[in-house]
Amino acid sequence: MRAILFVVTISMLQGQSPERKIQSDSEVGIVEFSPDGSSVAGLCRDNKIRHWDGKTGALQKALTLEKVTGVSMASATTAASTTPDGGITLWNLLTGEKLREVSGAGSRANRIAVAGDQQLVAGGTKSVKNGSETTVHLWDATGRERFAVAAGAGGLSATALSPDGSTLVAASYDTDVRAWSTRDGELVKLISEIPVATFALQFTPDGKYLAAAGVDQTVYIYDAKSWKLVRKLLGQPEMISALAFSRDGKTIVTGGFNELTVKHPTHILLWDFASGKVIKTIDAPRMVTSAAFSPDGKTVAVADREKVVRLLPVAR
Amino acid sequence: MKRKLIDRRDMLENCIVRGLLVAAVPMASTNLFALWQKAEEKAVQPTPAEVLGPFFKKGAPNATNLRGAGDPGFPLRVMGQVVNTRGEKIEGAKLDIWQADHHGHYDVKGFRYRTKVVSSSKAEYGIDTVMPGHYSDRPAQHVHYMITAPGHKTLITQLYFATDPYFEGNPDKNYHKNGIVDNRELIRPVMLFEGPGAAHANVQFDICLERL
Repeated sequence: MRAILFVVTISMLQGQSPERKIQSDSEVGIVEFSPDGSSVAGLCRDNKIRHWDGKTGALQKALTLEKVTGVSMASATTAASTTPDGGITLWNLLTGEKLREVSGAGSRANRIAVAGDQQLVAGGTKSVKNGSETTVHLWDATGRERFAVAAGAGGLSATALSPDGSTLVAASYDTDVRAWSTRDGELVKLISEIPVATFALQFTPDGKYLAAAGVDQTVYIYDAKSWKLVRKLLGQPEMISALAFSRDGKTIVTGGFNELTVKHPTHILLWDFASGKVIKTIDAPRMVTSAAFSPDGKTVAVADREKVVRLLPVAR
Repeated sequence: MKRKLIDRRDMLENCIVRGLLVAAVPMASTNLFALWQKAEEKAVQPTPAEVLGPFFKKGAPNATNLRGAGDPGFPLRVMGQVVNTRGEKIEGAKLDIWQADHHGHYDVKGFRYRTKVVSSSKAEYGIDTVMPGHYSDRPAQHVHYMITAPGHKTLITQLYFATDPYFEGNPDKNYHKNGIVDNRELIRPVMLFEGPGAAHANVQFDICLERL
């Protein structure tokens, strides 16, 4: 059984919970809390989903995703595995249960996103021959491809579906961000003002706003109806590779990515969504690949492709 | 009376109908035409595509000299011609070119070592820069390209250097080491010249785009 490590910090001396670390047998790329906050799930490099007790750090179970060639996150609680022939399988990150399979577009898709209890599945494909055009696909609940639309060049860097499933957004490495209606694939907005690549796209839990962040160290907040830029959050000292909202939508956490290498130190920032101000800055030893709030908003779990999950006290 | 010019398709179809163009084995005329056209279109092989990478930035200035006074790094001149798969020269192609500096660092705040140049009336382009540095996430020296031209597919690719220590003096054998480079032909030979002030390297990197 793995033991949890306690680290004495200033916050501990001030009466807050100390930072804790959960040790893992395999590098953890993605983290999420269970709905009741009692356990932490991690998507690991060995294609296993591990669950640890949120208080003791003890390993509760390890679920192997069989015959999987590549795994990523499709929503906060859904992992997606893809095959070279285009197949997509969705897994419940919290239970390891296979949720559904989509036959796909015939070539490997990436940046899979899901919404509406896995009713809608989106992903991007790149031209397999020469040329560099990117296509975004949306599959419906029956597995039928509802549409396939052009999405810039160079491949996708991020995707997200709005909480109500009405809007699909995708960022491509050519730096454009596009929003489509999931009903018919109509392009409702082309955001071309971000000069560099976007690595993270997240809707607020109520779906009213979209956050986009990446290379230029800025979080752009867009109104998801008018698509007007309502605010820019400035203060991350490096590129932003991970972003998550608290469940009440009041707090944002971002994780950094130093442009020199993934191994250079970065920072984790807590932001007040309403004012756009930084609440707290925490050092990180390397690129942050995933961050998630506990349901009560008092803890952030952080993964960075090392054999550890950090649990940071962030009570406001 | 003005004589009507026939296009290539009409001419080939006429030849097939009149028996002037026949296949050595029984073959439908449509297949014969398709084969001929395909072979012609591949007269020049398109430049292989490569990944765009995370550091592309819009809005680079049109500059042919990227090397600032006193910049560290081995002076490098990259030049080439932009053609399509028919071998036709493409004037006015837009080439976004970006790379890391000598230390392996990309300028993501400004536009150091970033440019957007346009191919000349001879379809040529050229830039003066420095040999890009190495960085641990992508250990082979490289220069990024994104090329657009009306009537042609957008091409995103990268230029590599045969002299890069990463290839251990044998790019034929080592180009795919660790999956870094997918296409040997993107690794170009480097020619050294002794200039008036300092030595510099020349690399020829011709681009071939596919027609839409």
